[in-house]
Parts: sequence; C-alpha cells; structure tokens
Amino acid sequence: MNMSHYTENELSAYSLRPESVIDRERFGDHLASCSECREALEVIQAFDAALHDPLPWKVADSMPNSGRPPGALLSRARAIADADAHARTLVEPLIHSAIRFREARIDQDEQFRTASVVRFLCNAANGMHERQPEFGLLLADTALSIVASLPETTTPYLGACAGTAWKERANALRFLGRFKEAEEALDHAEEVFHSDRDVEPFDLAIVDYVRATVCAETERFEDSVRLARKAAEQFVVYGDQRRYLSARLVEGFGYYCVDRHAEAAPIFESVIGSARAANEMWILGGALANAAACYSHLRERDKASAFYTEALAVFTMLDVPTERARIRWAVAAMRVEGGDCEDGLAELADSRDELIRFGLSNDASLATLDLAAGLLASGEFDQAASLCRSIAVTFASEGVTRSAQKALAYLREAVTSGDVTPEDVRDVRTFLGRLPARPRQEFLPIR
Amino acid sequence: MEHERLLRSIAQFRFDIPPGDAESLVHDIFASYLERQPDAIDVKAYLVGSINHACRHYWRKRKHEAPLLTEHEGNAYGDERARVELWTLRLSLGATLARLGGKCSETLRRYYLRDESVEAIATNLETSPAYVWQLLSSCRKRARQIYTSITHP
Repeated sequence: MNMSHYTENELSAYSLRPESVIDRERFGDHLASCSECREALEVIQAFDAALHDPLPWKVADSMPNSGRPPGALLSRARAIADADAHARTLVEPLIHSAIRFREARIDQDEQFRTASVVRFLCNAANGMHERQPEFGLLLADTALSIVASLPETTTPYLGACAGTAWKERANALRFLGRFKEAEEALDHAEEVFHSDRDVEPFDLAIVDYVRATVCAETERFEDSVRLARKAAEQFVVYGDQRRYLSARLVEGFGYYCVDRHAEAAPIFESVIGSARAANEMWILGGALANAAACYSHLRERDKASAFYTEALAVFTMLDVPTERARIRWAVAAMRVEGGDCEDGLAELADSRDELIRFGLSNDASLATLDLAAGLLASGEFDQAASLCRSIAVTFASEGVTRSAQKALAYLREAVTSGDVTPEDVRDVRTFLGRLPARPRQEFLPIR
Repeated sequence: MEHERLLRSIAQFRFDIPPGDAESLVHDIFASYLERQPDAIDVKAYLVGSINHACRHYWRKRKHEAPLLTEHEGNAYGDERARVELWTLRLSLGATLARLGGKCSETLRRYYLRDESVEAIATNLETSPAYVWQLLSSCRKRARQIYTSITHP
C-alpha cells in the first residue's frame, strides 16, 4: 500500500476477485472514504465490464496483427511532403515583408503554380490576419490567383484548395471590417467546397463559423446564433473541442447582443465547464467574463461577482493585463450600480486610470461615464460634470465616430444646462458601449 | 496504422459496411487528408469525424440496399458526441485486444466473452487455476496499458 492509497495491482485484484483480498473489510472501509481509490477502482471495473462486450473481440479478430499502409498512399504522402517542402523553400523567404512579397508577383511565375504553394499561402495568411490583415488579404488573393491557374485534371481536391483560399480572403476582410466583401468571399468558399467530389462538412462548418462572426459584427444576431450553433454541431462530430467552444461563445455572444442574457448565460456556463475540463484557458477566461456580464445584467450580482473573480484569476495566470483591467472595471461598475458607492467609486477611478495606462482609450471613456453616473447618483455634480466634458472616443469607422460624437454632444449639453441625471449618463454609456457591435445604431436621447 | 485500424473498424462495425468497401473508404479518407491538409487540432478525432461522414454518405447513396439507421444519423451536440466517444472506446478496446495477442487474448476471451470458469480454462490450458488467476491479472494490466497508449498517445 502506498501510504494511504491502494496500488493499481491491489485494486485490480479486488475488481477481479474480491474474495481473494486479505482484510476485505478494511479495504471496503478505505474505499468508502477515499474518492481517489474509488475512482481508480471504477475505471478498472469499467474496463473489465467492457471485456464482456462481443464487439471489441470482433474488431480484434478483423484486424491484422501487423499492417503497412498501401504503397500507393505511402508514395503519394512522400510526394506531397516533398512538394510542400519545396513550396516552403520557395515562398518562406518572401513572406517576411509585404512589399517584397508583392514585388515578387509569384502568381505570374510558373514554378509557384502548385497546390502546395496555395496551401502554404493559406496557412501563412491564417496566421497573419490578426497582426497584418492587409498582408493576410494579399496572401489569400495570391493563393486564389494561383488556384485559378491550376489544372483541374491533375489537382485532386481543387475545390477544397480554392475553398480554403476564399475562406482566408473572408477572414482577412473580416479583420479589415469589410464585411460585405467577406460574405461574398464566404459564398464563393461554400460554392467551391461543394464543387469537390467529396465535400467535407468540417470545411463548411468553418465557413459557417466565420460567417457567424461576420453576422455578429453586422448586427444580424439571429443569423449569428443559428450559424454558430450549426458550426458547433459539426465541430463536435470532428472532435474539434476548441472550435466547438469558440462557436458556442459566438452563439452566446449573439444572444448577449440582443439583451437575451438569460439565454446567453447558460451557454457561457456550459462553455466554462467544457473549457475548464479541456484546459482551454483563453476560452475559459472569455466565457467566465461573458457569463459574469450576463449575470450582472440580470442583477444576479453574487453569481456575476464569482465569475468575475475566476475570470480575473484566469487572465492573471495567462498574464493578460488588459483583460484584467477590463474585469476590474466591470466589477467596480457593478459595485457602484449595486449602491456600494464608497468603495465602488474609488475602484472605478483606479480602473479608469489603469485603462488609460494600457492605452484602452474607448474603454477608459466608458469607465469615465460609469464613474460620472456614480458620482451624480452620490450628489457629486461638479466632479461628474467635469468628467463628462473630458470624454472623447474614436472608432475606425467615420460613421460610428460621428454617432458617438452626437451622443457625447447631447451629454455635454445636459451638463451645461445643469439638469443632467445619472440616467442620462447611463443612457449615453450604454449607447457607446454597444456601438462597435451595432454600428448603424442612431443615438436617441431618453428625454 | 492505428488510425487506419480504428477507421476501418468504424466503417465495418459501426456502419456495417462490407470489408472491401470499408478499406476503400478509409483509403479515400487518408488520401483526402493528405491532399487537403485540413487545419485539424486533433487528427485522430478529425479522421473519425471524416469516416463517420463518409460512411453515412456511402449508405445514403445506396438507400435501396440498406436503410441508414437512426443511430447512424448525425445528431446535435451531446448525443452525437457521446455516441462517437462510446464507439471510439469500443473500437479502441478492439485494437487493444488485437495487439494483445497470444495466450493473454485467449485467456481473457474465454473468461470474459465466453464466461468460462477459471477451472475450465485451467483444464484446457493444462495448468492450475492459480496460474490462470495470475494470467488474468497480468493480462488485464497489460491490456489497460495498451489501451491507455492508444487512447492517450
């Protein structure tokens, strides 16, 4: 016995033949109080029970003891590996600089016209979108141009090759905020994926997932929820836990954006459970923060607080100070809204300063509005008015910036006239907070 | 090769596809995987998803030969995941037993599948019951080790 636990051999012997175990009573007592040994025993018992199932025996009988992959498949695998290595040698030196890549005009060069080069470009584009979406777009478009020149007769799975390139174009356009073009690219991706002899639903699921995110960005939340759910179902079939959880996050986000917090919260909670089990910490952090936000809206502050605390721990572990700052801000704002102005306002002011330090200026402006609403509610008019006058926001789109400025102008006017209320400030804050997800929304004052 | 066996077993035993056709389907799945190189995080799980789809497609094309059972149809979320997991576990156990081979496989088969008593097995193997108990113990342990190496490579 290993200190206080039974060994695997002892547990296995007990599972096989309980009557053979010396001091069976003591064994039973230990199992009753030791969950670790009990669980280990259950695994062994489940394994023994599975040996009664005839199917695994049938499977075993049908399997040769040693086998080699068919020669044709093996030589194809070698040929593809060689072609991929050659493509890497050709293209890799060019993708360190967008200018050098553009100047190389590889789509005009015969030696680059291979499926391997297309695959390499698509992979490179996929890793580029977040940092340099314009370059990601260039890589995807070059891949598309090469695909168009590949002969259908000698390129197996040409549709999949082209579909992936269209999908990468869509991804790049999504990061660039060119959503209409992104959707067109996704239409093309879907079409060419279908043109293949055997369409793989996994590819279509990725298209659905990207489309769901585009729909979320363009305020079509019902479509976003539907597509994310559809994609998630397929990711399950392909055992892709990370993509499944990401799709579920988008689904929850779709509900969240239309204020259906009671429906969004259980989705985020289910993602939390699975992400925790799968050790997907980034997804876990996001789901915790989102679940907390839902419960905060639902006025279930204890639950929200617990989720925020855990999200904070996750982002601390991942060392993401910006997310930590956002969570501290959300917690402080929730505290003020719940009436705890004494501590809440001080925390909110600290959070605001922290957001400014990280350069998160729009978030800092929203935090300023939270602070101003709290100060007004506590009768601190002058300080609140001064904060309201100091706020400025900028968005990538000119139209969105104009809408934001309209809302802020309304607020400044209310401050100047001296009859600004905490509700006015919260109204403007809610509008500005939602603006990135609802860029076409017009500001309509409550009064 | 481990994946190949698993995929072929899924086709043959989960979807009742004749052995020759099952082999062709698996070959196509590998060929497709090699050419397309999908961005799959878990290759084994991806291939399992792919063979499941190919098998359903196979039977849909041959509707008049044998109807696709409801349990073979893809289903949303938990159901399908649980079903795929259960099948994967059963087939992984099959691969384990195939690898076990020899006296171990035979002893476990007699005891667990055919419900033969330890005494009967001992008589048949011309040995003592105590030795059979020992054999059962060590073979189960070996099987669990192989199973773990297959399911958590």
